[in-house]
Order: sequence, then structure tokens, then C-alpha cells
Amino acid sequence: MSSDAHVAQELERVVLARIEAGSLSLPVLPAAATSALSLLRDPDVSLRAVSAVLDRDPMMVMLTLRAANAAVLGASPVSTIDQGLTRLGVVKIRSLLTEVCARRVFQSRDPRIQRACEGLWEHSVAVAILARDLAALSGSEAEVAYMAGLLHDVAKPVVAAYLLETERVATMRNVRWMHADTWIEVVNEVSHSVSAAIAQRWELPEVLVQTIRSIGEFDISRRNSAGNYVRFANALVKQQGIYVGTVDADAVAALVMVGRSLLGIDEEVLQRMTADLQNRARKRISND
Amino acid sequence: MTRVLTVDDSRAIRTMVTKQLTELGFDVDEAEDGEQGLARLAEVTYDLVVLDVTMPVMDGPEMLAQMRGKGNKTPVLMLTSESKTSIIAGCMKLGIEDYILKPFKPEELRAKILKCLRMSPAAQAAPNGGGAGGGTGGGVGVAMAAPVGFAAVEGAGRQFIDVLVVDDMENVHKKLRALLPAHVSMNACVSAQSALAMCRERAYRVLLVDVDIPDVDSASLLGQLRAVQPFAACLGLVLRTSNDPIAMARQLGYDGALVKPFDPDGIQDFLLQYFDKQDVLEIEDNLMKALPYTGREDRKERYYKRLGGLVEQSLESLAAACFDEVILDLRAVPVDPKRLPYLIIGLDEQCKKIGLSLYVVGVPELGRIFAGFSETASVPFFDSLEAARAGA
Repeated sequence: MSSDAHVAQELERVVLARIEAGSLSLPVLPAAATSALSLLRDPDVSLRAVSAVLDRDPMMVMLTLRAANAAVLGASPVSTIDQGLTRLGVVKIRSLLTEVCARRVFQSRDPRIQRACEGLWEHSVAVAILARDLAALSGSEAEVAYMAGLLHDVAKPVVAAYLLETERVATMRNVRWMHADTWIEVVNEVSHSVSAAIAQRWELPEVLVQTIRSIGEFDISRRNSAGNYVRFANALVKQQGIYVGTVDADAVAALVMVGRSLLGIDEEVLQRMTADLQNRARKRISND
Repeated sequence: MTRVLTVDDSRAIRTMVTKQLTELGFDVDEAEDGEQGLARLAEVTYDLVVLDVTMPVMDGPEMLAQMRGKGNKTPVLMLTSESKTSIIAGCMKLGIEDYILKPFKPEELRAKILKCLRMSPAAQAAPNGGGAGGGTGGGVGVAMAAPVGFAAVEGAGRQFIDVLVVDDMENVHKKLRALLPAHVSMNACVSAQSALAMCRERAYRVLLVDVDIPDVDSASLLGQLRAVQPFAACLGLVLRTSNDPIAMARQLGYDGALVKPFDPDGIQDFLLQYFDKQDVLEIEDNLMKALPYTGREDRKERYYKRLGGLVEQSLESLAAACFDEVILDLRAVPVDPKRLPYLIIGLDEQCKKIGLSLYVVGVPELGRIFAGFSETASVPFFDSLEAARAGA
């Protein structure tokens, strides 16, 4: 194991303990979005109830209307949150809310973290798009794969912020601190279990938490699970160079090879799905 | 003959691999573990090794390492229930062609084995069987000719359908089916999930997708459909109330649009653009019968061109079938004083080149028009089929 991996492992232990104890300051998610997500866990929820919650946050109203009006080009524009939610439907609303929450985390006032966050967010969006498309082909849980793709690296900016804070303390005490490149690598080593713990702390849907937690290894017993698609998409996106930090090319190639057989994905279909992926992710981000 | 060594401690797996490969015409040897595998490799030169990971006595990675250590470069396909990245990455570093996770489908095994053999530079350099480790026969030629990859294997069994309609309103399917001619085959479904499943099963020529299916991101669905149906045209089903339906559909990434509710003109345009299949000509023995035109006036030019093209194409078949004369029945064709003489002039020249005599049947008005041109006046013209047959 590399020294970065050792540091990351120790860091992970500390961070997980702090998340569990509630002593790690996590980014605050928009209250309206989390409440609405909580309501949407009920399959019989009325959109009116969701609308009442989102209506409290002008930003959420604006985002909902924008998404609804972009969803159907040419149709008459919607102007109320009720109309917007009706047009979007439950699945799209859930994705939109998760995206809003995740996007918030990948923003930082610190310029160093912000630079890395922009690349990480692009990576996450690309993984989400690809995981959703691959899962859809097999009739699997495409939207769960999409949301898990968005959130699979959510621990990284959180850990980066924690490291930055620790760096400030270390500097104040004149303690030697790691090189910037090293801490980027350490952040990259942080596993998805931390992302899952954060998602759980945010009380995101359990299926999403479980999916993020399962990304660490392929689940051979459930070949078409959303977690397998996210893991496979993550490797493919790294192979495409849409990533921040160094990539173990051999490990990624092995993941792709295993994933192709596990999920039975046709190579030509895969090529078509990954073509222009970075531009698709950038376009998606520019629409945010 | 191509020789393959399967190394696996499971007798059932070895039997299955042997059966599949024997059916492909390959010669297969078996070994129960890495040690036996190495012993086989010392005696015989193989074109491919199908290797398990976890085995008693000597496991797959160890056998692979020893093989490569001795300079044996025979292509290796891993066939294993091991999915740990670190182990597979280690094998990749030693050189493996591909990987199959157990349990597996026989078609995956066959496709990847064929791909491995084709990919192997040694196999390509020695079409008579010189594998990387030496080669043993001429079986590689069989592999080269066989389908490669899942797409080819799946595609071979795919049934071809003309149109897939994806719309959550079943009435849309019914209306469209009623407007499409019987020879245009059509499938329909109400959900994105069904559409993707159907697109994996069949090949389609045109996909008609509602741009406003509830709870479906039309742009994402389109991307997914295109991935599995790369050769199909994708049209958005757009409401007539949209300002510019085609521009709107194109903005979403579609190739074009079909407007709802459907109208006969729109359907006619759609058929002409994507099928060009209005029946214009029937052929029975040496009789070519032009069928009536049923489309819009401004589309007639296309009909005459198609008629001329089809008649011209058919002439060679008639000559090849040893007919001396050909009868062209134009009685159902709308009379056009310019286009039809040009059509006949071209056909008459073509007939003379290939040694056929052309006889034309038409309404009296057409006869008068042909008589007015020196080039067409000499073409035998009749007002009934019986008269033409008697003349021929």
C-alpha cells in the first residue's frame, strides 16, 4: 500500500468516526430540497405536498421552473411550481433535487479546492450520465444509478475541506504539512464508503446510500445492480481522462474488462455511449 | 486445426468449453490445474489458452507468470469467477487477451474466443495456424471468417422491423398503424424501458419517439436508443401546436419530426423520405406494370424518377432470364406530356443495348403524345395488354 493510501485510510477512519458522531461539519444542503426528497420517499406522495415545501425556497422554485421549461421544448412555458412539478414527474424531480444537493457540495470558497471541485463535478456528472444510460439499457434502476453517480465522490470535497482546515491548524502550530499534490492524492484515495456515510447523514434515500456504499466492489450476485453500473461507469470515465488526479491505468483497464463481462455490454454500444461524453457532461453542467 | 487448451479445476466448465470449441471446429485439450497446464504447453503448441484463476496445486496467475517467464506468448483468455480488480490487473500485466466472468453465456465464450484468435498478431500473421507459441494447423481461417463480438452474434439473430413507435398514448399507435401501408412493419410501446428492451431485440429502420413522455428525459432516451440502434433514423413525435416542430425535434437531437395528430400528407412525406416505398411497379414474367400514383401533386416528380429507375433496374433481370421482349404497362400512370416521353426514350435505348424489344401499353392520350416525338413514335404502342402480347 502506498503512503498516500495509508494516510487516506487513517483519514477515512477519522472522518467516518466524526460523521457518525456528528462532529464533522458537512455542507448544509438546501432545506427545501432535503425535505422534498424526504417526502418523495413515500410512493403515494402528492406533488402538491412537494410543491408546498419547495415553494418556500425561491432558488428551488427557479430551478424547478427552469428544468420544467427545458424538459419539453416548444410547449407553452410553465409559470407556477405546481405546473412545473406536474410536467417533470416524480423521477425527474428526485434527480433534480439530488443534483441541486450534490452541486452545492462541489463548490468551495477556497480557490484550491474549487479548482479540484470543478473537475470532480465534471467527473461525477459524466459518471452519472453514463451509469444511467448503461443501466437503462438493461432495464435496471437508471435514476438510482444517475443519482449515485452524482454523489459517489461527494466525500472528496468534504475531506478536502477537512484537510484544509487541518492545514490551517498545522500552519498556526508550525507543524510540517503535506505537499499540495500529496493531499490531492490522499483525497482521491478516500473510498465511497465515506460518500455513503455522508449521504446517510443527509438522510438521502436508503437505496441511494446502499448503492453508493456498494460501488467499492462489483456485486457478482446482482449483476444488474445500480452500484455495478456506477462502478463500471466510473472506470470508463477515468479511462476517458475525465478525472482529477492520477489514475492507475492497469486497475482501471481491469475494472473495464471485468465490468464488460459482468454486465454483458457490447463493445460497440459502449463506444457509442462514451463518445462525446465530456461534452455531454459539460453541456449538462452549463445548464445548471 | 486451431488448438485450444482449457485449464480449469471444474470438470463441468472444461466439458462446456470443449463442447463449444469443438463445435467451432477447434481441437481442445484439457488440464485440471496450472501444473498440468504447463506440462501440456511444454508438449504442444496452442493457439489459445482458456485459463481459470483459482485452482488447486497451481493457480491461473502463477501458471500465467511461469508461461510468460519461459517466453511463451500464447494468447490467454481468463475464464473465472474472480472479479477482484487487483488480481485481474495483475493478470493483465502478464498479458491476457480478454476476460469472462463465470457464470457465462456460451455465446460470450464463443465470441470472445473468436475475437482473441483474431486479435492475436501471431494468428493474423500465420493464417494457416501459426499461433504465438508456434501454431498447429489451419483453423484460424475458420475463426477469421466467423462473427466477432457480441454485436455480430446478437445481430445475426435480429429480426428487422421498419418502424418502432414509442408513445405513452396507445391511440397514437393505432392511428399510425391505420395510416401506414401494410408492407411497412411496425412495433409499438408505451414506455422508455420497453423501447430500450425492444431495441435490443430487433433492428429498426425508423424510431418514432414521443418527445413528451411523462417522467422520461427525451434527450437521454434518444441517446440510449441511438446507442443500440445506430443505423435507425430517429424522429420526434411532436404536437402540431409547436411553432416549428422540425426545428424543435432537431434541437432535442432527433433527425426530424412527425407531427401529431397525423395527417395523410405528413405520412406520405414520411414514407417517401424513409422508405421510398410507394409501390410503383409490379413485375410478372416479362410484364412490368406501373401502379397508380396516390401521393401529393408536388411529389409526382419523385414518383416518375422512381418508376424510371425501377424499370431500368428490372430490364437487366429480364434479359438475364432470357426474355426477348418486355411489355411496359403505363395505363395507370398519370399522363405527363414531358416526363413520360423522356422515360420511354431512355428505356428504349437501354433495351436496345441489352438486346430486348420494348412494347408499351397505355391510354390513347399517351399514344398520341408518343406519336408526336420522333424518338418515341417508333416504339410499339398498344392500348390493351392483349394487343401488346399478340404483337410481341
